[in-house]
Amino acid sequence: MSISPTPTPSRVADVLDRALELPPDKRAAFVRESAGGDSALVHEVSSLMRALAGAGAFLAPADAPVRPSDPLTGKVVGPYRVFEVIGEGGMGVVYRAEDSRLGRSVALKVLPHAMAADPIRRQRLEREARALGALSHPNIGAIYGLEDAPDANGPVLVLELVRGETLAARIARGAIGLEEAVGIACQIARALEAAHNAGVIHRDLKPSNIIMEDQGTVKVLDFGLARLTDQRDIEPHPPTTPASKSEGLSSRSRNQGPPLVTQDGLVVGTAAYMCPEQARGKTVDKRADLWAFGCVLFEMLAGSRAFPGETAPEVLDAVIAARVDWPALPDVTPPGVRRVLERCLRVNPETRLRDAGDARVELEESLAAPVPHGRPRWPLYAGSAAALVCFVGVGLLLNPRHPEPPPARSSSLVLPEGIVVAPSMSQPLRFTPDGETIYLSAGPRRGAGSLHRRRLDSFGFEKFDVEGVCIDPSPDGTRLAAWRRIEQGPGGSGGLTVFDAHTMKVIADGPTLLPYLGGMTWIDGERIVVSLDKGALKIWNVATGSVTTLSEDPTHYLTQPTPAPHGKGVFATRYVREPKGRSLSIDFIAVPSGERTEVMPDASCPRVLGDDILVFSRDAALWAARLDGTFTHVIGSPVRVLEGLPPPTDTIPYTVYDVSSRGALAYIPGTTTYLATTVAWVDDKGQPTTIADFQTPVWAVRLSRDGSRVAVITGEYGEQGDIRVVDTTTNRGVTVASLDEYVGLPLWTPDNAYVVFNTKRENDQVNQLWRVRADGSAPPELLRELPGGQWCDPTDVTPDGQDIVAAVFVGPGDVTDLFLIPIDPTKPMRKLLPTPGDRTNGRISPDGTILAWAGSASTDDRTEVFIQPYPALDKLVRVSENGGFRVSWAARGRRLAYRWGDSLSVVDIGPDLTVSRPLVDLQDLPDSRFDVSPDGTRYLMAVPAGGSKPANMIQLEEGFERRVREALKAANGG
Amino acid sequence: MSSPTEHPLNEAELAGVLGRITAGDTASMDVLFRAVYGELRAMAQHRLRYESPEITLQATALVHEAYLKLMPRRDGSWEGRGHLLAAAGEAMRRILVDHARGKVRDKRGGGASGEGTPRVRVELSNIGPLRDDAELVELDAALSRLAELDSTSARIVTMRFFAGMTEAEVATCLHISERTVRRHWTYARAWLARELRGDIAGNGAAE
Repeated sequence: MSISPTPTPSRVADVLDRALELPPDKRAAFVRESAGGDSALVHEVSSLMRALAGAGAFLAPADAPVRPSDPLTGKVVGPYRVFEVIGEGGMGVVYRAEDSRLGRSVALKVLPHAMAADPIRRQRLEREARALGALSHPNIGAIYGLEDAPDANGPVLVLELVRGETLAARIARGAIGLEEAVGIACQIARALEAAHNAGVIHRDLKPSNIIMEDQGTVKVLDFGLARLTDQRDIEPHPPTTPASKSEGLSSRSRNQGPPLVTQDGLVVGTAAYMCPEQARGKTVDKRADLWAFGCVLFEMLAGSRAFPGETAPEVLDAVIAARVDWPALPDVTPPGVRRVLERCLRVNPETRLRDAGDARVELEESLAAPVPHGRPRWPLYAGSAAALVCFVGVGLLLNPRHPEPPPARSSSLVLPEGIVVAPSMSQPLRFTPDGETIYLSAGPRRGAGSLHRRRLDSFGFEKFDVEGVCIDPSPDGTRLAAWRRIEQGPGGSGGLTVFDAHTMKVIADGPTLLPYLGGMTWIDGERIVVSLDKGALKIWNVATGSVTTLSEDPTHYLTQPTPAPHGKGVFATRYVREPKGRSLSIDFIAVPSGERTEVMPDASCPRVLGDDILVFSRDAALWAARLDGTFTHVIGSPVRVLEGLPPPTDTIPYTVYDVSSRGALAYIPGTTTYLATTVAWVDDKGQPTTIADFQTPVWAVRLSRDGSRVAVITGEYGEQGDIRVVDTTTNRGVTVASLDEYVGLPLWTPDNAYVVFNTKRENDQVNQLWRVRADGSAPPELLRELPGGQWCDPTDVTPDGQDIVAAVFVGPGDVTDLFLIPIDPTKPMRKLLPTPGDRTNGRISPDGTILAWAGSASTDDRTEVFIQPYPALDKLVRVSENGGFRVSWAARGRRLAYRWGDSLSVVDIGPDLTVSRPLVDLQDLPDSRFDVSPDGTRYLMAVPAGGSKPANMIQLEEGFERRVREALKAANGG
Repeated sequence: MSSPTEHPLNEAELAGVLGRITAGDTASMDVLFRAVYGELRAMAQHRLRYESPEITLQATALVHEAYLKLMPRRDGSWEGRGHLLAAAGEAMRRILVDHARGKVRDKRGGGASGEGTPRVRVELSNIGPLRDDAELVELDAALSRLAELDSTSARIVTMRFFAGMTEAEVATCLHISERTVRRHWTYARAWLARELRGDIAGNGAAE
């Protein structure tokens, strides 16, 4: 061997990485071979591999078996005679014991000593053990009591002794058939239902603490124990007998993976079932159990974990990134079961299934529903006698099958977890010309979209390593045109590219003069019509590379082009931004003349079904109309064919959908955006109900004083703001102002006739106060401009309607104090409170008697909410205890709500400014301006659209064309 | 190492800094680091002051909290998010190591670490248990040595351990492929394990 200098880290890393992919016995030879005689490299890589292997739980977690002591066998604890150890784990050793009074067998679980040492913890332990003891259900392993056992160095829990096989052991033998798995899942769901109804959360549901008794009954063990012992990460081994059956925990089969290791070096399987919020150390509720339920059901069906990974960190990574191993699910898994899984395994608990009963009902129905189109029936489980016994045990839960198929076929194609359809005004989703494949652009919620493909005759999505949007397959289906990103970052470049549809290799790159795309479409096998800025439609000839102009007019945009039949031209959405809003229409543009004719007013997103029906989007619905032979007119009246789509954006509305040559419709039922774009009522339990989805970020909301309307500031990235007024009963809205600058809070005048707002421009140097009629009947009217550089944040209008209450910049370090700014510009501003202070968010109670504001109370950076009699201001009462910032009054009564961090608190103010105990204390809310309903029971705020309906699935409706034709016939008399 | 001075940034300033970093201005990283450091230290101190005397400091949770608090609402770019997380990871590392150093010093000097000083157990992401504070200090030193040898690997470790970033997040932030991240990550773990726990064969090539 030759002597060589110290190998570079990158060379070492490369060989090390590739070696570790091989089985351990092949690594040494591989390293020698790769090194090609470089002995220093061999030495270094071998040394690193040894270090990694020897690091144990540190850096490279591995098995760290813990041998427990066995102090209790043969002893007597209270009335219990203790026999052998039947399980062991981080939480404690589990023994079999006999209750000498009742003559029954029980399991004793020894808890950590620390639990008993501290009298407060001990008290809590007893209280919780009693609560758990009250939980009695055939699918729940019972807790009988708590005993002291001096020999065990810790308190002992007395548990029902459950005999049977753990679900972990069962899964280790292989995946479980559909019907049996669903049957088991339904029993687990029943256990969760009962516990959740009693207010108990399991917190540590996983296959190893689910036992299947020989009679087929499923028992869930260790309810609430995770919290009882306050050791979230530690595995309680279940009491099982005989020992040979409890193989699940030590099994190393491919289905189980190695046991996981926690910080404490204890063997755990918990990470794989821990929901993201739990992994992040947040408080959890019953939705954590629904997540784990999804993991368990997945694992039963797939035979492998939902979140794959060799080590706890890898699994947690997968959990937090929501990388569900969907392809591992068997193809026969019915859509209903997939839907339950998908809804259980949502990262955002707000959108996760929250009720075990709902999961159970859906599972039962999904087995009862007919098999999806073109799929083989799932095989009935035909396993061992024991399994059949189990099946009989659960058979009663299943409904009889419906004999007849449903009239219209509809299915949901769920995207991989964490992946949503990319926001794009044009065509993130397209069918291939044969209608058998869907291409789409999808990616993580805050990330870029990559091209994906879904063949309708198979399961799962294929992802291509191409970041791009705006897809269109060529008419012969062999090529795919898309806009792809070439350079990263804002202002990064990209361009129109044609790919080989099979290999995804680049065939042709469009001219780089095509940075912006408002959509594009093939019009024949060679030419692509592209929508560009300044109202241009250009034709790129892929074969020759030439670019010609079809239409150009900077007074409008022509976007979303789609081919008209027989190559005669394209339909496009024509968008004109007007001083007050916009106008939209679908126009026909003839090729090659470029002659433009309006076909359908107030419409966007054109597609053609068959060769004679124009489908379009209007008011969050899809419509259809019959085209005449010239494509410039429609025959008869259009009909509404699909309702309940996400509301459109305020610029060029897009509905993400396509129709296929086979008459199918594919659309995205969720919203394709990730910012806080919706306005929702949040109730006193924290549950949101969306009233409007703006599809652009919402920065502020404010209710009119009668609660009938809400004023909303919305717009892209704060450079521009629209003020919209939405009726809270009908959820309909109007844009009353549209400004290209920062727009502050929208404040209502006492008569609810005007919305008052402020703008900041030129680095806050120009500050103006405006008002606009709330019905949008007149343009905004400038009230006054503040002296140079004196920025303000108005937060209220006084009950007499004369003054604006605002926090005005008074000193360095962003110090503001409250001022009254008269609406009448001839009157001077005046400081509200005589003493200096750093105050903000001033609001006067609706009865005009109390002023509330937020200000710093001490030296730390917390602010608190204070109230003072108004207008006397001769008294000061602190309202918040642990921080308060934004404040709001309910219109009726003297109810005050305030925010701090992610919390919202509500109090009533009594006579003499007495403050009630908090009536409501919500946590985990989005960071949003908010307002209170007139009766003080609901809170209006901006909520991310993901809180309602993420764009994480494609809805596929077969037979759409037939339905459309029938509807057109019915509406237009044949 | 002296503590960086705090420099709070408002939302607009922070958005500007993230934008400049994304555009390649590495000098702005220092500004970002100082801002995040101040925020994180205040949050950690708050925890130490108000929570029970025996606490677990979940570094990742804290970093995520700081991130959520700081991230400008109007910056939806993934890169900005990555840079902010990475800076938070660096800041977390500094805070934890300074804290651990203080405690190790107390112990060695038999100093007044009695009541009032909370017992802090640190939980990091993507890493097994650390034996004690001294090991955290050693890890920090080893990371600095690794940075001299292979700065990318050291950065990746900081992002993974202290900011809890996933491989995909690291890849986006550093403009490298996930595969490359994994290669560096594996190498760094092995290298650090050898530095801290030794080559079990006892005569590693590195010696």
